Amino acid sequence: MSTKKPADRVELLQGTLDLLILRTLRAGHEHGHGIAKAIERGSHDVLQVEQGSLYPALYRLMKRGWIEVEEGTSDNNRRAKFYRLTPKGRKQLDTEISKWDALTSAIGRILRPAANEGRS
Amino acid sequence: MSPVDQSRAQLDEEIDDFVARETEELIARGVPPTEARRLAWVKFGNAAIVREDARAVWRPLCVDQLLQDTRYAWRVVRRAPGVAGLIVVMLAVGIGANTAIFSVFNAALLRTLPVPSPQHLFLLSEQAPVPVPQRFSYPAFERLRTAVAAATPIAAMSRVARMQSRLDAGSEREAASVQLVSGNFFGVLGLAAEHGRTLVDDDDTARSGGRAVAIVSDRLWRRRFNADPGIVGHDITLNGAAVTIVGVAPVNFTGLWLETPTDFWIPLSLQQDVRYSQNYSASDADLTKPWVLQDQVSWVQLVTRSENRAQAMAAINAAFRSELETRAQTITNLQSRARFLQRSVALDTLERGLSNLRPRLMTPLGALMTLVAFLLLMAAANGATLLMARASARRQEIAVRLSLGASRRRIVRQLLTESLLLVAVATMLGVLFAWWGGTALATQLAATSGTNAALVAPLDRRVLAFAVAVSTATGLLFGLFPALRTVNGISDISHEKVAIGGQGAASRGLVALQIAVSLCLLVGAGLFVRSFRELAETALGFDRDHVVTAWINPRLGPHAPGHVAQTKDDEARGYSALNERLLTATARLPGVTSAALAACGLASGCRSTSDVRIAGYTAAAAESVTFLENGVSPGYFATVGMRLVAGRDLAPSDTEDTPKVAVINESAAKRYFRGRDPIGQMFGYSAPDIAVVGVVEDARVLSVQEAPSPMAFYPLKQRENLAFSLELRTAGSANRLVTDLRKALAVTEPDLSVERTTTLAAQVGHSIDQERLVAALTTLFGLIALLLSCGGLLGVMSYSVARRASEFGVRLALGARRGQLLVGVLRESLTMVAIGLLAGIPAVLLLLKPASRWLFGAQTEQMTTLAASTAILFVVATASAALPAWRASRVSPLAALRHE
Repeated sequence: MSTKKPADRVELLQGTLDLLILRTLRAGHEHGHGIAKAIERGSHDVLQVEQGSLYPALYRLMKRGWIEVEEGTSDNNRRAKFYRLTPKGRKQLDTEISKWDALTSAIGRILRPAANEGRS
Repeated sequence: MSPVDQSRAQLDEEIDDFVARETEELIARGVPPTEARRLAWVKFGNAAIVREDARAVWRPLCVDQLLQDTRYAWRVVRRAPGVAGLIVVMLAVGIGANTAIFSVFNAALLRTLPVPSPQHLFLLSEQAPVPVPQRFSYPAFERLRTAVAAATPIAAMSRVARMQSRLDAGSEREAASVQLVSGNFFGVLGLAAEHGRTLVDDDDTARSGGRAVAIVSDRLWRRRFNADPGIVGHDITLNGAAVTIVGVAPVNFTGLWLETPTDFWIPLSLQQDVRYSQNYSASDADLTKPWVLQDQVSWVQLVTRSENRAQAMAAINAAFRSELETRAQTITNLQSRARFLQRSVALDTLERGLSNLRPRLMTPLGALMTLVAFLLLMAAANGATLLMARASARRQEIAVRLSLGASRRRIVRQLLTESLLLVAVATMLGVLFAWWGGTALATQLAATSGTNAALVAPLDRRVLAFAVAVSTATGLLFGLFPALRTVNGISDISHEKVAIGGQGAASRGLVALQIAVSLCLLVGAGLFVRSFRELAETALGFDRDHVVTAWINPRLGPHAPGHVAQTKDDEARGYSALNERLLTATARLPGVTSAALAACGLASGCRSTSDVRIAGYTAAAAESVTFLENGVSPGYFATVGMRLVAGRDLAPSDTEDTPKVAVINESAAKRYFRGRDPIGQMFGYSAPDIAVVGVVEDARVLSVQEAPSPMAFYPLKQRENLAFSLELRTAGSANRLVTDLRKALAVTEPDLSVERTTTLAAQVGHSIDQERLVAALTTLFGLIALLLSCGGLLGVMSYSVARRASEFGVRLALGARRGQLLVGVLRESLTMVAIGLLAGIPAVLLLLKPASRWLFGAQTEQMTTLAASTAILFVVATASAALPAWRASRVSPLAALRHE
């Protein structure tokens, strides 16, 4: 059960899920459930991962060669599929992050022009 | 398991894993287990959508839809297998006929030589004010080659000759095609050996006589030596001369002559060893001495390779000019010397190889291509109408799908997939048909040009590309039109109404046109078959049923004039002894009642004519007095079944030492000895020194088609004893005697070259191969056209009946009888047929005149054939219109009304 009420939740922007998955995997390998949990926890439960989009996103990233999968055993001795960043994915993550920064600052400038003017 | 299925199984595993973890987590937080599991699933969401989305990642949507369309199309096809089968058969026949004809067209006219850059190969052709034989002497070749060595390479070759070969010690002799070539031949062509080596310059030197080596073709190597790479070093004999195989020619290379695939290439300097003696022109030459040493024998053709045709031509002409000037010095007549010096050399392209067949095939193949293209158009148009007929039966289904939100494009694509599926099946069948038909046609076409010819028509890349292109075009043509028409005719279910009224004037016209064309082809088929029958049954003047004939060649083998200095008399004595041995040995065979020899076989293509002078006969102005001639042994007439009508037969007592005598035929007696008793009359070549001793009945000795002309038969002994045909008369089975004779000859005359052993009936049959082929092709195409036009009629009427189902229903409900509907639909069909026939009959009459040139025998039967073809067409068309008519009469009024 989530600790926050649905109203506080924010839907993921189109295309950002890929970035978040890549970022989550930078810390090390993780299985599907773990990735979803990590994103939710990392965003203090603001972001809710739609399961319907998680797996297609994982397969899409695999197809592009940014992540790879391996069989493994999780903490409670259950067999699971672990996803891991490839070197190519690591590079991609860096570009994605800088793209994201550029995008958010640009949007921020448009949304709060006064703040920018006031500073200048 | 497909990769997609595998991925799906893995996804399911992961979904289970996710739900299990979520459940555990919830339980850990104190939620009851059953509730936890439900909540976990709620959190996960719709698994089906996840699977769909994941699938979209694995496989593009269009592929998925294509598979779906194909599966659906297959179901639809299976629901109406009759219509689908009819369409597939029509298209398969159309595509197959096109591919088959194209494969021959490709083989004969398009295919380039399988050598690197064939466009740079040229044949040297001598240009002169008067036609000259296109041959060079070997020394002239060497001089020319040396003179232009810096500019362009020149290779020489003989014609392809039939030789007796023995491929293994102790094996039977078999005929092989051999070409004599210069050492640099393969080098100039740019070919390397598949195994061993090709020929080199040292193999072919005139002075030292050349090396006894041979290159074997890939074809023969595979067929006869099982592609054994150890063939290099193997010894064979060609016309008695031992040669060693040193290499295998590259795959697909069968020589430069299109219709005579070459089995062996040997050096030109082996000419004398293998007794090559054909296609030469000689003046003052001693033909028994090696030709490679003599300037007086011209017998080789020259080939060059150059990237710059003009440059090569200039270089060759410079050298040729000085050659001409040297030779011109011997010409005393100034005028002829000047004319001689006008000669030059041109370079003809060799890109597609050489062929005697090609110029003759151009027009007939072009005509056949047009005809089969038209047949395919007919097939496609008929397929389209059948599809429309079926689509209108599916209007309801399509309307529902449109209402449920399917896009028009999606429906068109669905319908198109169905037609492409049919085309795909038809193409496969068609290519199979073409593979068989093209080979058969090529063989038959080649056979009409000579006994040894063989045209290979493989389904190479170009032919397959053609088949695919033709069938794709067909599929789009015959699929797209009905699909668009169907979809545009239906808006959606709420507006769906059955249209009534005049439609398809175009398709009705098309059916009438097809009927007209079918009539032309059927009449043609009837006439050609009748003409062929008449040819086959023509009285020949000899007895073809009880005679067996063997083609022998005493010029080859140890009987031949050879290296040992032989006088003409020695030669004649040798042949005489051979003839005696042959006659005694074969007369003993079981069933043989008499045996004879002749210089020329019957209907064998052998022909010899001479101008003669006849004592007491004055020729009219511009009349050439000629005799067709043959040398025969005593008893020849009785053996082949020709009847002596006056005088005596040639006798054993007529020899080289007795006065010259001849038996002439009735034509000769009538024409040259009109009003006189021919017996005892004299004629001759330079002086009238031959006495006529007998007259035989006329016979068609040359071919079935050629009417008898004046002819003289001489005693073989007075004609140098050279016999090329052995004739045996049998009281028993001719076919068994063929086998017996073949075996007997191999034992008693192992060194004699025997080209062919066959019954006279079969030999005569070969001489009407062309007529047989024409008759077979017109019959085949006539039947195809008949099938297609009936298919078209069936399609148009089915479409019409399907569209008017409710009209029929209403009429039935209003009291019309079923029989009336049946007759109504039949009458409509027969109107189309009648229009077609009315248009076809004048067309037939128009075509009859030019066609009768190729028809043999009585012309009075033409009208009978026309009437018979019209009747056949009418009956078959009526039968195929019966099905839709019956269907119209079975319409249920209730169902039709509910429809409205």
